[in-house]
Amino acid sequence: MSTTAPARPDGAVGLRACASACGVDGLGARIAAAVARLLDEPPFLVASGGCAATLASHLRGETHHVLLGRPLPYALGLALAKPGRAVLVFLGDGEAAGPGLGHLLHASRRGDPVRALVVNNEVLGVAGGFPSAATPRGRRTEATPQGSSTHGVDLARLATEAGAAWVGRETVTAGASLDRLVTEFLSAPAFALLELRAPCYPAVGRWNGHESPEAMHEALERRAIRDGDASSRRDDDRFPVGRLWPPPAAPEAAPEAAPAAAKTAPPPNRGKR
Amino acid sequence: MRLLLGNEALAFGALDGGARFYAGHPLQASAEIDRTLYRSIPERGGTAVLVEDEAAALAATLGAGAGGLLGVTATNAAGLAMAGPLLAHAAARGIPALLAVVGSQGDPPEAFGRGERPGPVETASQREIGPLRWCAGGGTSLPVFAPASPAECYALARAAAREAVARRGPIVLYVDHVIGHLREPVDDAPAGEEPLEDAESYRVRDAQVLVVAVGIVARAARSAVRIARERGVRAGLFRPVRLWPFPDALLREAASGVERLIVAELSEGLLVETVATAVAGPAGIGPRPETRSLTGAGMLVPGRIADAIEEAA
Repeated sequence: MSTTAPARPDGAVGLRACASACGVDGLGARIAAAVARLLDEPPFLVASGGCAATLASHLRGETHHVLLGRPLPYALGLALAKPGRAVLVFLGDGEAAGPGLGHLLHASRRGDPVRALVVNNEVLGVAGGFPSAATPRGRRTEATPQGSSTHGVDLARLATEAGAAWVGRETVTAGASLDRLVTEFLSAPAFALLELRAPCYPAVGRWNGHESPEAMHEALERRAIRDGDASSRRDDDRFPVGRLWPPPAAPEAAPEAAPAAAKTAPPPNRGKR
Repeated sequence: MRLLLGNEALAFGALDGGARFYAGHPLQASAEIDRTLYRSIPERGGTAVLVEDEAAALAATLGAGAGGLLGVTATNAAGLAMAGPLLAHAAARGIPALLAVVGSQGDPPEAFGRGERPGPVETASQREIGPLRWCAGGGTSLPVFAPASPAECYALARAAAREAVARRGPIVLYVDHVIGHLREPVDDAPAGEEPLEDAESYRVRDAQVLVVAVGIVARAARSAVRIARERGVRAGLFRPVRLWPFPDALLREAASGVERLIVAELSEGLLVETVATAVAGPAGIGPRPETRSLTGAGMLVPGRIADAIEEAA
């Protein structure tokens, strides 16, 4: 059910089976290292399908693969049945912005005692390169070379507006600042959402003039706004990164050393045990 | 002994059977189950949570089941339509769970007076019987039990909760709208444990006409059997308690000396083919009693079923 993350001390971007070099492998190693450092017990890992779900196989933990769209409510039940154990949910943008969007907003609203990590590559990668609900308008994809005709939603912003206790966003190649954010994410109060921006060269990059996966990583980095205004809606295809909620001016959410499970919000309507 | 609605009795039965988790998206048909569980589960040391929709409710129930806490949720026909993939997932992964499906009200008969407001009798329906057969999407057939009284709602829910854990899988309880909203005395502190029964037979030994009915219709049919016998027709009743998979062998046994069968149900006839196939035996050959369908919009009252029995004899 679980595997150990491959040793990647350099944190370099790895190659996945699809050879897209999107960085999910390297991301898995970074998260695995942070989980091993911060959590006393192996976490529950909940995912469905798609590229983001492969992240779960990088971590030592009890993995539950459930139906597309349903990892968040499933994780809620699991977390309430196993209070004290950390529950990490892995989603892609296709799922989180599509069938799982309602669940994401309600998990944010209720303060579900789980942490969700969304790998946003702005496309339905394994489903044939169709635009997801997070693909920006005009972006060309494998299935829509004329450009996506619909607006893409901003997941981090929606979760913030819905009341998530902690929201962050980073690119998969951000290195040390990504490590800091993952650490904060694992110690933050729940519900916490970490959106990780990754490129998908086969389904998006080569249809938008990027010469290589590396060039697409660089383009993604140029779109990231560091130390900028995180609050307003952006229509220029760029996105703020870092901790988006609580706002950067607020005091740190939690000390790094605290175990994540202890920080979970009390579940709703719990009786005396 | 307490006076309880079928829906309330089901909730208490699930609790006494060991359910300690409830996730729900309350709907009108199942509101009393939701209300009872949301209030009572925390009092027993469990956890209850209200979620955004029926799929989330079932998904959270499965998550809890996978985490070692038996979960129960309730829904209606619309929620049942969303439940298929999750029920299949639970069956495939061996996750215990209880799903109560409370029937929706149907359309009143056409003859119903204009301007009058149809009540639960006029809108009685059992149209979920069909969808329930393949409620896990067709890959597997889940056990579906159909109580015919609040007392049985309690007993079946209690037994099903234990069975779900013992068998490691989901169990569905189907309560038609009338049974769910019928208030009757319920023994909610029984001395012993009653196992899940698959079927109930009433006066079948010498029967020439056998009525097959489920839920509230089975109660009307029981009275109809008595009326028919007073009229000189040897009638009997077979009630599948485990609705799906249908108890074929038990029906064949009950129908061994029978000349005609009447399947009485509040739908367009969702059970009649199953009954006809079941009495024909596994090979589909041999003497086959004639099987008729008695369906209706609005409640099948005892007199109507008794007339059908007399006509068939």
